[in-house]
Amino acid sequence: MRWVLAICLIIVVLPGIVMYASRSFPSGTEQYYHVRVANLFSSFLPISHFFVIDAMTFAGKNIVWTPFYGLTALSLQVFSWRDSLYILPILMMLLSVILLYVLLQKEGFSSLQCALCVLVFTASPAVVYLETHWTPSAFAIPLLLAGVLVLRKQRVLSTLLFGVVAWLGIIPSLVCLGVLWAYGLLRKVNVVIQWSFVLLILLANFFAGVIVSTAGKTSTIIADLGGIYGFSSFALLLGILGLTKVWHRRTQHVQVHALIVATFCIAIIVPELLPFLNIVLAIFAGLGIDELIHREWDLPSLKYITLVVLGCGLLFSGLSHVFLVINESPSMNVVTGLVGLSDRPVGSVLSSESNGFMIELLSKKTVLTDSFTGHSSEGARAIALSYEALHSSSVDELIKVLRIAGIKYIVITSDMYESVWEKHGEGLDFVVHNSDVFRRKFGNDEIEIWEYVPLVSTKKSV
Amino acid sequence: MRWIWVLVVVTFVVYAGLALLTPGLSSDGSYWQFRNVEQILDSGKPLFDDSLAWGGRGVVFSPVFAYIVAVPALLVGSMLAAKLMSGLIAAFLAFSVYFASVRLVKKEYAALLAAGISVISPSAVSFLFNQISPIGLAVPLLILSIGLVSDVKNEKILLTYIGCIAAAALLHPLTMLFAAGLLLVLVLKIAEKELPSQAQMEISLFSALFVLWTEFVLYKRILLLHGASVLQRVPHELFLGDRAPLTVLGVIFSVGFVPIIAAIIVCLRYVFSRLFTSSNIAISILLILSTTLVIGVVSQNGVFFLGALCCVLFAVGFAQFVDFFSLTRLEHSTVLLVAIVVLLVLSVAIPGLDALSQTRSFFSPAENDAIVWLATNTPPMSTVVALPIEGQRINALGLRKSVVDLMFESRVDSKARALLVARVFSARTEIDVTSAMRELNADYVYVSPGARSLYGSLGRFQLFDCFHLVRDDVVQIFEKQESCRGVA
Repeated sequence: MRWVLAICLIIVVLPGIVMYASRSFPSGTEQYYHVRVANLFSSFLPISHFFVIDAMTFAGKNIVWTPFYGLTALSLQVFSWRDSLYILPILMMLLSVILLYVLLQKEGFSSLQCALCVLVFTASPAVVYLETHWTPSAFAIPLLLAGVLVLRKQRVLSTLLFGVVAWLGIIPSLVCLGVLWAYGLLRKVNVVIQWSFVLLILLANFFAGVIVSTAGKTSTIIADLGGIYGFSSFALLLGILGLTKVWHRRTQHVQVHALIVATFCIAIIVPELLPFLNIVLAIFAGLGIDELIHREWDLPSLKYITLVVLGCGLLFSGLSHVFLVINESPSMNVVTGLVGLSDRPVGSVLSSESNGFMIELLSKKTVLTDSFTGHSSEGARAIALSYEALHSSSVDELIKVLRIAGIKYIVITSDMYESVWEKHGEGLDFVVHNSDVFRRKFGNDEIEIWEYVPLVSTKKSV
Repeated sequence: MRWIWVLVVVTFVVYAGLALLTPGLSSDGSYWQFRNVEQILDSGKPLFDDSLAWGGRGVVFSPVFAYIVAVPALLVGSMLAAKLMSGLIAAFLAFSVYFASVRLVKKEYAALLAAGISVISPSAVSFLFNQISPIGLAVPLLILSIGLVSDVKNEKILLTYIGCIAAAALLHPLTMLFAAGLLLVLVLKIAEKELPSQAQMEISLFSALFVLWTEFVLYKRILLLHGASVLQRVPHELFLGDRAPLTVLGVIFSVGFVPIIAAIIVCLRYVFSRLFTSSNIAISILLILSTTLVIGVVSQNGVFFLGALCCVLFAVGFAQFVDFFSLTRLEHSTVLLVAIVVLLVLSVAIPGLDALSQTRSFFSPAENDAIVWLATNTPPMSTVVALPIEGQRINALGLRKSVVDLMFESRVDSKARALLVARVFSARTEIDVTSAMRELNADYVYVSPGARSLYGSLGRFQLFDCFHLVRDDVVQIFEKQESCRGVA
């Protein structure tokens, strides 16, 4: 079944190649933030500074060095930031696929089961997303798998690997605790040292305020319904079938079963758990397919048709996610506008929160809010000011807010007509189009850039 | 067996012949399919982004049917292909009802009678005559599947069944009711503590999951758009002025008294006997279909499916009646039996003929002329207010934007827009009418005989300063003056 592994490795690389061929800039905005922060640390190890202050937002915030930023910084020394964002996630997911295969083999799964589990894992929407987006979750998954793989024989290395994963944030720390506890129970391994180490890091995370990801914010549990980290509906069905295969052992490992079920329930409100749960689901779904293959069918032809339909369904979920990812913002039109803004004089930018990371990196301008503003001490005030400015329909009120926040530029992207306003001509959109104090500096179908030019003697109102 | 082929040929000849004698197509939805066929012939792609639909929306629908019609349209042209297709679909319905009935009762005469009744019933005439719609093809496929499902151990039958189910699922979401029917049989059997056979479990679960997945993939965007309210009541405001009102009496009249009474009797007699037979499945689908029709989740399309299903169950009822008849002293009275059959057929045929005359005259040539007039005498970007049941025809023949049509699934505000249309036609004051026109961003009002029969003479438009009568015929067309803005 090694050839299945080879196919999986090819599948992992494909979305990245398609993305590289079809886009000049990587999709998704969160990775733009991670690249910029890695640049702040500028080296693999936190030699000069362990904390940095990110001054690119109105409120400013402290950022803690993590190995994730270390690896990103190292890559930035070798590749350009765009190439790094293409290469790093693909490498991590390749590593994840190999590690999952080896781990399952080591845990006594048959070759067919290993191949099926890895196949489901590779085609899952979450993996498609992670292999095209450089996020801490993409970094954590192979390390977590490696940690479990060496848990019994190389305990120091295992402790280090779990420690690195836990360092990435509170959710990865909790995942590590859960995995260690469940594995310890299932395989009767003593995991007290690893558990204590991760627990310590978890406590440290509480005080340091490490931020993990924004992706979960918009994620629903089903990928087919728009969840970027969500499960394929087919994998979910197969997972339930796979669960029935081990259901008879529920009394032996009642705690582990309860933990899995509870985690799936919690993932509905904490979507950051989904990439990790995707591994569990892939294993159960693989077992589900194995069950379908080996079960005696009254209608043998129906069995083959069912397997073909299931295969197509899994592939379809993955493929549709590839297209979703490729068409994700920012588009070339938006990038052109934002890069052009970087040549303009210094000044803060007002836009929606979701545009914040792109503006910070591509325009090299500070923003009033980005998707992590809520984590900073002045975050609530910045968000309130941003809301007031975006929904203000009076030029006087708007100018007042712009002065408080030191805003010089306004960036309006087409998606803001759905995410911020209900239609064209509402709030800030109406004001900037109808007042002399705003000059349109750039515009195309998807982005408009306006400059606030205070009039000294004339008072204009709308 | 040869009699069914005679019936199939006669059905095709009559349906296609009469369709060829009728100008245009006889339903608004057919014009939507017609436009798609033309678009496919032009560009190879269907109208997923329809610039003439209200709001230039992206339309969510399955294009499979349009591609099927596009094949003969390549050879004979779109309109002729549409008319021939309506005949073919009617003939296919006759065959599928015959096939399913024969498998249910094993009596050819009953199956033949059921097949005959299925194509002359008012519901079949209203939904098939001179029309092309995916439901027209999906229902015969589902009826065929009912006949096949109990015999899937035969490999050829299994493959045919899967082909039918897959095609029906790709054609119309009503196939979900079929899947629900299969599941209901399983659930009731388990409730009776009678474990279904493994083959039964396999085929039922496969069918249900396959159909659900197909519909999910095809209509995911509708699910995302409406969320939990996707199982909304059909907005009946849109169907004002349509031929078949969705009331209990309307449904009974459409399906025909005899098939519906026969179906009820069969249901009462056979409801969930202990075998996995086609009749059980037909009955459970009938129950689900009736329930969804009563609670208003299924639109008029459900009536057509109900009609075909009742015809299949009628075959069972009729076979039993003949068995009973043979036990009475009238056993040898062939004349009486023939008279009963003739009466049964007449009881369905007379309303069927009435439905035929209604369907043929539903869109008169004069109305079509008026719509074509729009294409040549109004600015290309203008928008026309018409009844929702006329929306697609305005798009297809008039090449102008309509404000609302019957495809309510892709939008959340269809009901609100239908109410605005009603306000345009029913408001007494000029300011009310112009305000509604402004909200609809419309320039013309198309007053058809259908609109007049719903809202009265509408002569008041001639008294309004804001409206200028630009065409006065069977259809009146009013143009809104630029200066009249109305109040939002």
